[in-house]
Amino acid sequence: MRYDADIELGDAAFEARLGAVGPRALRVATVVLGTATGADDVVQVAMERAWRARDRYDDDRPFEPWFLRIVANTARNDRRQRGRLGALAERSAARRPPPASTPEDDAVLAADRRAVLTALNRLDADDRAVLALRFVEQLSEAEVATILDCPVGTVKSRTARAKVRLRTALTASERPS
Amino acid sequence: MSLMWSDERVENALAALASTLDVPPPSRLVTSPTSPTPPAVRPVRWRGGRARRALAVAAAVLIATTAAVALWPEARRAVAGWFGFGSVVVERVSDDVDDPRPLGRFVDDVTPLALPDALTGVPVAVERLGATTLGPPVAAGEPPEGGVVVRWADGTTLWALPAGADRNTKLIAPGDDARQVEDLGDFALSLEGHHVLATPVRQVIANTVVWWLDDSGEYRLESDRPAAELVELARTLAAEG
Repeated sequence: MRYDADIELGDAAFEARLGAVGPRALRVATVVLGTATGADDVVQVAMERAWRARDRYDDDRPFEPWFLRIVANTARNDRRQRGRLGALAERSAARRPPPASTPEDDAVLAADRRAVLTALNRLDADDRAVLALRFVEQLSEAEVATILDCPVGTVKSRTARAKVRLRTALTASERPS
Repeated sequence: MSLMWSDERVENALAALASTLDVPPPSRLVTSPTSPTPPAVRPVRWRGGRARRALAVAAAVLIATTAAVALWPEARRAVAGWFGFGSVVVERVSDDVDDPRPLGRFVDDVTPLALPDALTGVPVAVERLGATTLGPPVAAGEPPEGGVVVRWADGTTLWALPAGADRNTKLIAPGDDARQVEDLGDFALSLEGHHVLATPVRQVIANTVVWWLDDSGEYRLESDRPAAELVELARTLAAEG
């Protein structure tokens, strides 16, 4: 069934959906690009594409994977054209939400986050994307398959391989130089 | 040492990044960024669409128009209509627009690139670039606006714009032929005949153009061939697979 913007979902509702998925889209774009620089431009371009394609959106399908697929494709193209200028980083402490856990637990988790982030920066964009979608965004394998336009089985194998490479990078970073 | 990094520990650390990863603030995003896509009618309707979105696009056009006029101060044009998609805003202007013929051409300021290297920067499969009746491209370069331009022997050029390209404005006279093109990318239009292209860095005289968008990027095909022929070339270039 074709999505008819005028009958089934008005423009205001479409805008609301885009707005709701914005923060997640920014994280996905940032991870695929490998840097926050330009991630907002990528998501903006993806929103323009989604807006133009809204009359072809099938309302029976989940909105978020449909839009994140556009974001991931746009980010990949942007990275190919511009190269990677920067690295993934954490927000400054002042811009972070307060930790929900005890200070001790948070200190351990913060150290792990930093280590994982450093390791992520050593992976290629495909590995970063599948790990971010599955574990940062907590999306199902089926949703990741939709976004990456591949079978669920491929998501499973890519996830497994990416985790092996992430662990290798984590181990390498722990090794004394 | 790697045994310390259990699945659970790795996944917990990745999940925690959702709240700490440095990303641009969502407040910068515009969720209604373009005018309503014109319905599948020809020619393109001028000033169509809903009032609220028209206001948003009018603001964008005002910026583009201001920039274009600032760069082209002698223009005595009156904008009679407009529409936009991707990086391009098409403005229909009144007849008293200055004669654009003294302007240069789009390829004049292009920095030459080695063809094999340049083709890898175009998100169109290399085999498709050589699959049209034009044969393979003979030259390539980088325009000051970014992206890659490839040129065929007959002078036809394809500009693969950089993602998130700055606004480009095409100015056309009322009698010029601007049409939406169906079955080409996500959205496409053709402009028949000479017109002015005002980019953020220069103004050039342009020949017949087909401009389209798809998942791989935004493209501008220019030639002195008829628009209908150019559309078929664009469809070959944009074909899937």
